[in-house]
Amino acid sequence: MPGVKHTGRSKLYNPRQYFLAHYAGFGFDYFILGHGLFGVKQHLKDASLLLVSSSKGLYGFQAHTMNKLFKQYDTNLKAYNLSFGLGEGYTFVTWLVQHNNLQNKFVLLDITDDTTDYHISPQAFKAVHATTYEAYKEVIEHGLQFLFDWCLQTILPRLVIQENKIVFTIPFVRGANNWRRWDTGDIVPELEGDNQAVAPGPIYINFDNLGLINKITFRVFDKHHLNYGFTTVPYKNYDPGLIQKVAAVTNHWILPPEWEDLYTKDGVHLTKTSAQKYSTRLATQMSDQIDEMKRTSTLSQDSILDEKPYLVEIFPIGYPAPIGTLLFEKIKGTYYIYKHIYLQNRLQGMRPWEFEDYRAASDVNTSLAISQTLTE
Amino acid sequence: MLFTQHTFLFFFLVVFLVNLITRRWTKLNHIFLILANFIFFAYWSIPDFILMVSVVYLTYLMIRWMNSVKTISSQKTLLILTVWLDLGALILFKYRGFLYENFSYLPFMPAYPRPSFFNAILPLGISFYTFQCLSYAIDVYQKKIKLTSLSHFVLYITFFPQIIAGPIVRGSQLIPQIDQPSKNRPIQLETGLYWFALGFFFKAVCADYISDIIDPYWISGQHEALSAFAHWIIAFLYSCQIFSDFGGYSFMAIGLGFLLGFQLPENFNAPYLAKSFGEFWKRWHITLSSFLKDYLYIGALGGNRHGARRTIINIIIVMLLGGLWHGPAWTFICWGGLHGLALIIERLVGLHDRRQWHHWLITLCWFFVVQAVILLTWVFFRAPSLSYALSFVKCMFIFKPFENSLIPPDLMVGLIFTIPVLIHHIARLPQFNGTRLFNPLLKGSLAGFMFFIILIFMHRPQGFIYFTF
Repeated sequence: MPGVKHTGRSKLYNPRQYFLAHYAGFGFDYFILGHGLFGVKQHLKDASLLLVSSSKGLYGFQAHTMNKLFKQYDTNLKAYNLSFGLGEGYTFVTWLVQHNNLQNKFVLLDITDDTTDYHISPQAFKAVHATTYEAYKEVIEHGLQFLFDWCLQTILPRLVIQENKIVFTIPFVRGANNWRRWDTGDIVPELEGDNQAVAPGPIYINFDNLGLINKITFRVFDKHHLNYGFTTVPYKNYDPGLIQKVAAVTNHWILPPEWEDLYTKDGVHLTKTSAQKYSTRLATQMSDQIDEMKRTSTLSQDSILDEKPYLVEIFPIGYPAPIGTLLFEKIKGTYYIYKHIYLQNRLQGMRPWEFEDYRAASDVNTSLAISQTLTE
Repeated sequence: MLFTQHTFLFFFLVVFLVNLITRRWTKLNHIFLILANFIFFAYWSIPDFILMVSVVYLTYLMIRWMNSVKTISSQKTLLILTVWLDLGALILFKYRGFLYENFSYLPFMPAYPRPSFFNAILPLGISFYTFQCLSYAIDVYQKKIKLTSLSHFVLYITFFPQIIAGPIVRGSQLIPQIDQPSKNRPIQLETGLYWFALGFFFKAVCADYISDIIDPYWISGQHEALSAFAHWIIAFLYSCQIFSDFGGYSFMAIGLGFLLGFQLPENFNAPYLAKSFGEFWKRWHITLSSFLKDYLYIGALGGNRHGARRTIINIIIVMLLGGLWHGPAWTFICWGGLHGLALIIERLVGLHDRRQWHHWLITLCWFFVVQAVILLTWVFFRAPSLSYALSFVKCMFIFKPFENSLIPPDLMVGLIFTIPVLIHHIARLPQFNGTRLFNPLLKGSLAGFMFFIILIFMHRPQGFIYFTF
């Protein structure tokens, strides 16, 4: 077909070892890991160390590298990479821990600009709202769509509307389609190339501006006897001092980042080689500190701010609709949004830079927020 | 499972093959088809499936009871109970939220905030299967058809190609086909594939692309900067979208029916060729309009037998209820009301009777008036609220300076996707003898070509508009 570049068929990984993580706007990993589908739940239960982050950890942590070293060091730890793309924070993992009833584990929390505040991505939101039955349905339907598209890749072009023109587009298999390992959650293919060196920079971030990680995530971790600590997957201009500050506030163990000789492909995500280096350092640090980490108590009860972690927020119309009209409800001519705070991703869940815009918008509709706490 | 989803295509492939194998044994074939219907429905939602099975089973029990009693008065009482059982289910599950919103000022209504009971989530297909149950009960009462067995009744109501969004099939149309031995039901492969491909094409290529283009204009305030002409274009695009969407679904249902050996009634007959409002309702959602005409307009209200004034009232009642059937919102009621008003004006002027107005110029002028009003009414059907619809309609008549009267390029692209709708309508003109043109070879070739275009164009399968009704 004229103007269409032949790219060759994308690689299909062995489904016994790998599952498709993301395809055409659908995050398989949210549903598979979130609901523990196809036996993943057992892998999660078997793991003794959960690595939690956004895409930075998805590309930065290598659970299989760490597991090899743990075996060598006789540490008896088994890591699982529970990081998610789309700038995911801790909210989804908090739900995942509850939903799958994960207990008695170490959790290594990566603190980056993505994870410093309580928020949830739309994909995670969908996964949280789905039942296990619906999760299976979604995964099967989108999986079939991928297979169908994969079969037609390189055979047929696709027509799409771009900039008000109908044009042929290159691949039938659309967008990034990363794969993850069932047993470790590691992503393949990892990014390659040595482009930009990792180094601390001028961006300094505050942790938990909204106080909800403290209120909700840490409380859930405590209830599930999860011993958690912090690290930072290094990237260009990252804040190495942040985990020190967090550790001081939360009284938890940390694994200070070492950024020497690490490189990112795009300024944000570590390359495969760097991820291996970084994970090796982490495993060594952990093996050295394991006794100390076990001694460190989980968050003291005094620091838990609220006994009722789940909130329902009611806002009259005028607020921007983040998720969709489903959240609106009309009562006596006035529209309201009903949301479960731990499922919603606005106001409480916004990233700090979005939060300011939001507040500015809400000034137009003053005296809006009527917040009430509810017990789940 | 949407008909355009890969899951459905796999599901149907299995159903098609097993149906083919089991056709020799009628009972086994029926059991299999009922099982397939149940799987199809339960796959959507298990609670909705339980509700559907309960309504269907209770309706059947009531009809059997009605059929067993001797006196006419008892039969009538039981019919009324059956009608209220189905209507009650419809009101309870579809309209309770709407009723609360509109009657919340009454003293006995629960106080704010709205109790969760009134947060109605529409059960799948309830508008369709309750109407089929109703029509069956009335037909049995009126001795138009005989009471059939439970399995045949369940197969008829739950027949998966039509249960979610029609066509609303009458018992007299489907049950005789079920009653005969399965092997006697011919499987019309090329016709089935042609109808299925046609519907799939309309949905995946026309409706979904038009929807992507015009949906932003139905979000608050997005349309206001456009010219009046652009507003008419948006309304025209929506008219093509809804035809492609709902018509597409109906064509696919008919095709699936043919592939399983059943003939379902036609639901759309080139509605935008209608030269009068009366004709439009004979061409648009034919099974619903004939249901409303037979059971409500004539059956319950007496039709035009009680004088002109009563006829007008009857028309308005039927059209308002027809509008409300589409959804618990004032926009739908308004849509139905406007069509009712148009039918009344047409009747008063005498334009409904073609014998009186046979001059080609009057017919042509009235055709354009009819089509323009239909476009206007679609605005009410699509708009998120009544106020939005009114502001949209207002913009359709405010002519702006020349620089604002250009059509946005995205709408121009959208017009490309209306070409198949126009071709479909032209092909239905009396001048083109469809039966002569559409021989099996041409049907097969057309089906193949449409599947090819679908493969190139189709992106993510999207839901059908009528699934929400």
